[in-house]
Amino acid sequence: MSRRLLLIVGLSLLMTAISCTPSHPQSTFDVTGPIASGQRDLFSLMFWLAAVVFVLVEGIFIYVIFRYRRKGNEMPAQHHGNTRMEIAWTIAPALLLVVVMVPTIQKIFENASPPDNSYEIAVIGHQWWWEFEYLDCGPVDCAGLVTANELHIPAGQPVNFTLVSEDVIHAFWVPKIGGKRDALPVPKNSDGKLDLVHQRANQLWLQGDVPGEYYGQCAELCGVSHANMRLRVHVDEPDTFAQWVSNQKSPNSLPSSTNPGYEKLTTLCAACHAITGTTLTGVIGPDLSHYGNRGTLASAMFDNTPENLKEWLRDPGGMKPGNIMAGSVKPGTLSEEEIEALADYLLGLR
Amino acid sequence: MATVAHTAGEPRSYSGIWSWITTVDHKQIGTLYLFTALIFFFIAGTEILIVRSQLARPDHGLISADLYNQLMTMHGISMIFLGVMPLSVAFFNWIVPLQIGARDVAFPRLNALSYWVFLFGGILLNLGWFTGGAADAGWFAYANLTSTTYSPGDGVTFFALGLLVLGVSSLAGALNFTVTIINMRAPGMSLMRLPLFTWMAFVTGILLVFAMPVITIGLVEIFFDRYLGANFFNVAAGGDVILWQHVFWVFGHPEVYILILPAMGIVSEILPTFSRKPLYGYSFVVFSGIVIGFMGWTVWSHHMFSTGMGAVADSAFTVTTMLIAVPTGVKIFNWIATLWGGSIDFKTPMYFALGFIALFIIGGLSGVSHASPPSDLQQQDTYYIVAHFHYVLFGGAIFGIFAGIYYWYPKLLGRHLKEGLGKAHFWFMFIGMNLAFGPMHWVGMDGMPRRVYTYPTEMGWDFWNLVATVGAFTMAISFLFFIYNVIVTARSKEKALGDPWDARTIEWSIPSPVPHYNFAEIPTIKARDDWWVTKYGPEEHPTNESAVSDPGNEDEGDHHDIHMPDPSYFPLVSALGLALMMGGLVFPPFLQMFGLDIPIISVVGGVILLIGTYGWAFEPVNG
Repeated sequence: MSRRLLLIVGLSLLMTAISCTPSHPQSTFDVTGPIASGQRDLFSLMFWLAAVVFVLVEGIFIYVIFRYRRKGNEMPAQHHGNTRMEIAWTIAPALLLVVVMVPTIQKIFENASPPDNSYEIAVIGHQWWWEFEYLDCGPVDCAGLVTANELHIPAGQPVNFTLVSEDVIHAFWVPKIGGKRDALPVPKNSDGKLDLVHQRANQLWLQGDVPGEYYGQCAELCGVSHANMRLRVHVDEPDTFAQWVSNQKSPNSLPSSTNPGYEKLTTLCAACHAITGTTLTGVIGPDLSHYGNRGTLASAMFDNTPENLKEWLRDPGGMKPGNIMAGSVKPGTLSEEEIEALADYLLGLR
Repeated sequence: MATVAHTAGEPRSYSGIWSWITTVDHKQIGTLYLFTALIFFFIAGTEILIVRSQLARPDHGLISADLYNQLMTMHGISMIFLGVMPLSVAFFNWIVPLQIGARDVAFPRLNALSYWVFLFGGILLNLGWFTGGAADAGWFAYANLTSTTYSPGDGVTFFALGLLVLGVSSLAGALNFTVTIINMRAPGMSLMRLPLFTWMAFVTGILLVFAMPVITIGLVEIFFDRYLGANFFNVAAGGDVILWQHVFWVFGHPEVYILILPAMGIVSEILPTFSRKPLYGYSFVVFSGIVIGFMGWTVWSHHMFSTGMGAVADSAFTVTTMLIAVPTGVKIFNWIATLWGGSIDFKTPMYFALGFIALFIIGGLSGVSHASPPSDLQQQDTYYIVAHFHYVLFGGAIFGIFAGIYYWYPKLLGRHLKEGLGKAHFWFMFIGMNLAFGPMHWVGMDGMPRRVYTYPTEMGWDFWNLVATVGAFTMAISFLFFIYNVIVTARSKEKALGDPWDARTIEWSIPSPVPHYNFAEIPTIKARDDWWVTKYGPEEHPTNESAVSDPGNEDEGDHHDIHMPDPSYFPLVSALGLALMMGGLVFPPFLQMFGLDIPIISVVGGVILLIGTYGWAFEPVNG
């Protein structure tokens, strides 16, 4: 018996070790903020209730199949049932479910509307990257700030996200900060911008309490590079956040050099990308303002290193299946000299 | 029919390929369904083995993202519409007429049509593989990913057309079995004496009759959007993508019960037989099945908590979803109570039935955790959901179906599948299934979304994904045992007895394999578990001396007076016409006429369908 116990303890330790050693950037257990911890607590309640039921029911089940195995040719009594038992095991689970139902419905209503002091950010899903447009940050002047794939929010501050999509359904999900919500396609207004007050524009409020970098990714199948539609959320100290906003809003500048790469920047790249303060105002691809400050590339698929960026400029289609940049930038479109110059310039945008 | 020479009214013995093509016999059709569905099941299984190989390692480049999406989509669609559903229908065909004491179904030729339409629909659904890419938008094909803008190939078109054709098969079959169960029961077979499997077939039939029209409407909308440029799901033109989700899940959730109720029926037959006890709380098990069938219509939006329906709708669907756990629990408790105090014989069918209970409990419990929207928002579209529905659909439906195959194989095909190989099959499948789907609970809660073709190593999902892949291949091995078993059994000369398991229901009161006319004499039903009562009497404490001898395995010979339906090839002709008519919409040549592109193959198919139905209607009746 003690040997078996030892084995069980050993096995569970092994499993815990395997589960815990690597980092778990999208764990729904190791979370921050009121939304994700509320969701985790509700899951824990259900998990432990289910664990008790599981042990009880499977225990009885296993006992029964061992206890009543046929030994000879015995003929058991032909019991047809018992109404009292039926009533008991109808009511017992129903009561147990009420225990789950009540906090569930409380939590649904609690999470339904954002606190009054929430910041407002629009999240726009694209195949296969994320666009963030800051609408209102209370005392911080963030209105009009547009960035891509890396979101910054201040710690301890509720943020209300308006979720829409440019094309197909995406789902915005940063597990450690909170559960997902769909970004549904909405029509465009007459000014060409997506209708953020459309009935299909979803709301989701989240709050990160512990500063740090959090991983997220699209959770609704959205086409060929669905798996590559990732994002990062930087939960910053409020001061850092304010600094980030003011830096992000300050204009970038185009280099004055005559390297042929820069000509490509204002022609080839400008069709899709925008960089504040320059003549680049494209809206099809991610906004590249202060790109050098980003940690990742291609919607958080790769680290933003010079090597990765150059490889991307060489062959974006080879790095991320299906992306539309591959339609205009194929291997050979840009010379190595141009790639070098462009990478230098982009990483220098800080 | 000129092709089969016979004297009027004489039941013939049927053999040879032509008999299979023209058959209207429910047992032969059941066998066709079984083996066709198993082939589709193995194809769908192979698809997922490739997917699991891709996911075995992080950043793995075995297959492309595009091919991954196709394999993953076709795995889901095929398992549901070409695997589990037709496998259940195989049992409806095999067993329902036998359990109600009938000689065939109400509409034998319609039954044959259902099979042929299923076969051609299954092929149509898979045609995308040969025309540049199968459907790749997931099995629930969320709009507007299914539009020509985002899925330009023909894959999604074949998805819509294939499922429309399969819908004809399901609807015809469902009506057929519902009518059969209502109208063709033997004298004395009151509804509350119906064996549980037939009861669940009845409930499933009613669910199908109501569910198939809903998905048909949705598929027609997809097809109109793609083919005719309609705007049901075109947001820019005022269409709504959420419309599809509601239509799909109003069908899709009853569909879940369409998949599981027959397996629950099978298990409710096997447990009493191998415990030598009647099913505990028969009427409660029946009514919980009916309640599940009814409540299955009230829970669909729990698939849509992340779409932002609002707090009131979320709460309402929380309550209904949690409540449906109650009748499900009632079934499980009654099954365990059936075992309690029994005399449990551990034969292969019983292994699978007990496996069903053990695994279905897990799937049921994990289901409660996504009935709660706040918790579900962390689980929706993750591997946790994949784990949950494989515990209920693989651990549940597939275990139930294989329990049924091992149980009724001797009755219908006259030979026993080998016990040793059967148990090896069970253990590999049981262990493989837990290795594959157990860890998915963990990786899902660790933030791994479903339907991703790759994941970086820094996510910490490597180890358990590798384990899941090992589990998938372990299950694949288990099916090799099964296939080998079928081959060995087919070559074996050992014939099964009429009642090899000491069973309780009347299909075991006739010889194995079942004669063409089923019952030489239509039985009069005196009790629930009629065959048991015939053998041992109605006492609560019977002796184990049976009052009757085994029905054996010899056909009792000619019964010239029995009128049986004539074979016919018109169901096959009609089904072929229907499939060509639908499939032809995609394939050239097109004829330019009146400013329209007329699809020639469809026109030809329509003519064949017309000939088929005409011939069907005016087919002479012999005898």
